[in-house]
Amino acid sequence: MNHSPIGLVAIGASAGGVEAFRQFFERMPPDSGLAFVVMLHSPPGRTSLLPDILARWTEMPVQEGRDGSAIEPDRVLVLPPGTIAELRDGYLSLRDIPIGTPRSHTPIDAFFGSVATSLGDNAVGVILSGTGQDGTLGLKAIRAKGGISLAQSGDGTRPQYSGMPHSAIAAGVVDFYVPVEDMPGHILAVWRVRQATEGPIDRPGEDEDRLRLAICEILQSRVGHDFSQYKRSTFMRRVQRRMQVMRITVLQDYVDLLEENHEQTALLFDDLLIGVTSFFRDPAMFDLLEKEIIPRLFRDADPTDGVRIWIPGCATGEEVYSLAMLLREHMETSLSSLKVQIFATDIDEDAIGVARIGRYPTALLEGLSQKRRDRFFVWEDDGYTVRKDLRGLCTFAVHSLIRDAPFSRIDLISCRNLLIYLDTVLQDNVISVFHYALVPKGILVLGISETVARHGDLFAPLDRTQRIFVRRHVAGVLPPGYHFRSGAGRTAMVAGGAGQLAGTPDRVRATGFAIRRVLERFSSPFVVASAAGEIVHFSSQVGRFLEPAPGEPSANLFEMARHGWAQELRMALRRCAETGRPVEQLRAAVSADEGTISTIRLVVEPLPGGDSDALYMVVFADADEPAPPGDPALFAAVSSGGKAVADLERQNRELMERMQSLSEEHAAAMEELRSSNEELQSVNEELHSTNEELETSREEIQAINEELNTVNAELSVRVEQLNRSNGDLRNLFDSTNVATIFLDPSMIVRSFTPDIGRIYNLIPSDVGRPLMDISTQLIYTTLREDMETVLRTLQPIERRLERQDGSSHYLMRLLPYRNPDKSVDGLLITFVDVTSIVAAELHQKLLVDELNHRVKNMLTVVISLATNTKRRSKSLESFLEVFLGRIHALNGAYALLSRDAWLPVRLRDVLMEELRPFLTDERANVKMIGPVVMLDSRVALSLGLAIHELTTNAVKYGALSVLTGNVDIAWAVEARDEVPNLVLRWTERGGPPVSEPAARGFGMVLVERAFAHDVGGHAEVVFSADGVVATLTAPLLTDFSKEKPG
Amino acid sequence: MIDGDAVLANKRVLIVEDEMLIAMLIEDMLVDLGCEPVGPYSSVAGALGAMDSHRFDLAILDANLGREMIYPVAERLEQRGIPFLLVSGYGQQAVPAGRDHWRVCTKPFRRDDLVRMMVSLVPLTSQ
Repeated sequence: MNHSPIGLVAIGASAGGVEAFRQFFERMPPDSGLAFVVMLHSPPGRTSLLPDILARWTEMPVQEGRDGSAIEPDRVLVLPPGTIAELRDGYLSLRDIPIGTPRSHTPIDAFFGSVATSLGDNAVGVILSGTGQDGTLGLKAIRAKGGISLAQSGDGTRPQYSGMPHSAIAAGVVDFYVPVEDMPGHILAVWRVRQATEGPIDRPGEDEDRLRLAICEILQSRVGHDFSQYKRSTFMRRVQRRMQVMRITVLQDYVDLLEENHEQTALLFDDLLIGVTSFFRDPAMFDLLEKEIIPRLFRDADPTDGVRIWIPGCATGEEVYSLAMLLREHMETSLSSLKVQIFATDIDEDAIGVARIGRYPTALLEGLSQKRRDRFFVWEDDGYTVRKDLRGLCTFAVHSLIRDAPFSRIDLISCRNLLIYLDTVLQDNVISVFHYALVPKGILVLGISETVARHGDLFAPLDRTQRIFVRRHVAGVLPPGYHFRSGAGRTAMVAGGAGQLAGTPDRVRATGFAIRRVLERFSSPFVVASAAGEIVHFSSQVGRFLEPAPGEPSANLFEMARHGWAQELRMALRRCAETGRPVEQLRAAVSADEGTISTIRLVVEPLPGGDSDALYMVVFADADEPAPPGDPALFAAVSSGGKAVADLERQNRELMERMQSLSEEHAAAMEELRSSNEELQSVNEELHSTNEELETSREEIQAINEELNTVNAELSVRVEQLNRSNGDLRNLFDSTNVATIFLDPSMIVRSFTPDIGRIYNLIPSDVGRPLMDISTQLIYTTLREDMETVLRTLQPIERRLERQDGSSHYLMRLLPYRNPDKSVDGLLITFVDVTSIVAAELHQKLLVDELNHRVKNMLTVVISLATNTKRRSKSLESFLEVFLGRIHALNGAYALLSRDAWLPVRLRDVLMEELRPFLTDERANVKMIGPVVMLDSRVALSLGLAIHELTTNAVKYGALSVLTGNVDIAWAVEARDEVPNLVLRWTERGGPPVSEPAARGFGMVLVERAFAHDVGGHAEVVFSADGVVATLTAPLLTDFSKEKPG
Repeated sequence: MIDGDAVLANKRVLIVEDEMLIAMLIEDMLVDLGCEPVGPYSSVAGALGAMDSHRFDLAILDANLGREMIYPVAERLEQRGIPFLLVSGYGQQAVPAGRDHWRVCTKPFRRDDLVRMMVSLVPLTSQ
């Protein structure tokens, strides 16, 4: 056996499987060392989300299985929908189901079958929720090869659909029928035990042999079957499997368990017989059937009934179809036109469902010749399906051998390995039922170790080694308590029947034997006959009263009667039948050989039993008293004969004639009954075929339902994902403030985001209206043309749009709406509010213009300065000095302004720019006093230039030309004509005496004229004796008082 | 080179310019040419007031007075048929829409450019 280290857990499910997977994988540790393959019924042509779904529940990597994927420990492979999967040498082999071919019903069976063949006892099969029967045969194959099988039970997390697990249970192929939550625990435990007990069966020891025999002994006593001659390795492998299931590692412990636990014995027995019902199991027996029994059936069969076969306990149907194949082959070779019917029954609807479908995975077709496969099966992607002509021979029905009325007029019953499950009393019952059901010389086929030895009176062996028996033509008695009723009440009767059957069979048998012996040796001769006189039993010594009638052999009491008693017996029987009470008469009888006359007491007594087929006991007892005198006729007849006899005989003939006509009428009535019966039979056949059709329809509907359920489960998951994605998108839209409209190809509004309300007057009820009908605040006349262009060229269009009131600007993008498959299905319009960007751009343009203006102005000013300075300069040196000083003063003021990005600057900073050299510690002779005043650029520049001129003059001629001089600069803001004015006073002291020059220098002109002109203010320079005093007044047109003071 | 002295001599020229240094430059140039400057004025209001109180033959207007544009003054001058010359760093762009015939002397200007443009403004009859 293959002991490759990889253990594979194959999991199959259908409707309701997703939830079950969750329960399973959430409890399966990610490092179990086992490999997992998951299979969910799913319609082909779809992408399964199952790998993603499973990945949420397990830490193991989950992948979609592909053709050639290797089975690896701690990894989950999900088989894709619409494929037939097989495992070959540890690799997946996948085939697509071509579109259009009939749906596959049993992909799980097919896959499990290949797993069983490929991995043997390293395989674990799990069947979870689902409808139908798929998986049952797969588990069977796994179990037959030594693997472990599990099915989801109804406690714990119930399977949403219990069809598949229950079918597997009904077929008896499940080791663990447990809730799905417990499955991982069971699997791991078994797996550990399996690894711990690796290979003990290959190490035979005295101890093991002893224990093996102990087990055989237990089996012998419990189920009456001797396994001691079984192949040791096979036997022990099965024992080991049971031990794994029970998680027992020590053989002795298992033996102890068996002794205590009857159920365990039954389960072991079950395992030992596993695989008994595969195709042509026990080839020698089938050989015998084919060569001898079947030809004999056809030869002996009643032409009207045809060949009728009954297979009780048909399970998953392999034996039924095996037999059907033999019959079909015989019909073909012998050209027989006999009708053949096989009634295959089992106790459970679920058990029979698998057989009805008649589809088997490859693994279960072992032992079937290629010729028969081709002849009787159709390969349908995932398994072999029984062909119609074979299937047509078989009628599957739910039927209990114990409870229900048996079939009748059966030519052959094959009931292999069923009796062993029954106790002796039930066995006796069943054997009686078989005897009843079979035609005379009908054949009974039993399984190995089953026998009818205790019923030698009913069946004679035909072939002892193959357990084939032939029915003895004796009156069988149906077991008491067997009631031919149907429907309600069956169950109650089973209980009643079992009660009546209680007792020790051996003692009953011994007693019966004693009674029979006494009857033979000591009692009067008697017969048991029906009301019509048909004898069903003769006692010994009855020859004195009965003799064979001339003509065809017959067991008719009246025909066989001696002494001319026919009439007497007829009357007595009738009277007894009518009254139901015993009838006793004394009659004279003549001994045939001696001629003596003796008196005989004739007793007719009804036997207990049913009304329809009542039996009577007719006893011929010797009587001590003489014959009653009131019967002179008889006495005369006996003693003298003569005329009286002739009269009697004539009388007798007349009666016989009447009898004959009655009999003919009866025959005619019987004929009618028979034809009615025929009709009923054909109606029944029709009903059967209708039923089969319904069954097929049901299967179809079930399969569709199954798919719908699976699809539904996946749809739910998708809907959930869609909802989430939708939520994500909505949040995204809301956060970006991108107003969006979705249009269909005819420019009809499909949907929009709430932000669009600022641009288009859209309300939710506008969905479905053309966008052109919606009024808008935008200035946008080419909307229709643009939309048509985008739809035609599929190139996006981008536009800057403005609101009619100019308050907002938008960047509009017009894009083709693309479906996931890239096809264009409408338009998408987005609006991004770019008002702030537009404002910024506008501001930037203003700044650039201003800068341009200033630069050109400045250059003009420089030219002007140069020209003016040159006019008043005596030499080039003096020109340069004055000119550069002025340029630097301008530069300083500009530097100040540009440092603050042309925002208002502090007055003090403007002053400092010019006066910094005189504020140092060495020459702290400049004082500044005044509040914080902010100046705009124009005032700042003019003031800067004016202060430069004043400073230059003070340095050259005034207070700053000597170390002792001081300059005080004081300023204040004063209101004049309600406009705030800066008033700044420049006062020089301590310098050399000054006097007003005759012609004021250009510097002073600049201070007075330029300052006044440029800022719209006023400047006055006074040359007093103490020094220069300048007063500068400038209106502060911009109120900076609210600005943050510097 | 045009000798503007003859054409422009004794002409009265209004100067509107917010930058005193530039105004002084123009003033000096006009004096050199024998013209009589009127102004300078640094605002639209000032210039409009001067139009009512002074007589002049020609005007040199700074297009951008910092806080305001000169256009109302130019419009009034055009109405009165008094020729004028705009001075601006923006060049011909300083002219508002629909006033493309207004002449602009681009800052910074050279003396000769200013003179040539002034000469072209003076009506032939008065030359």
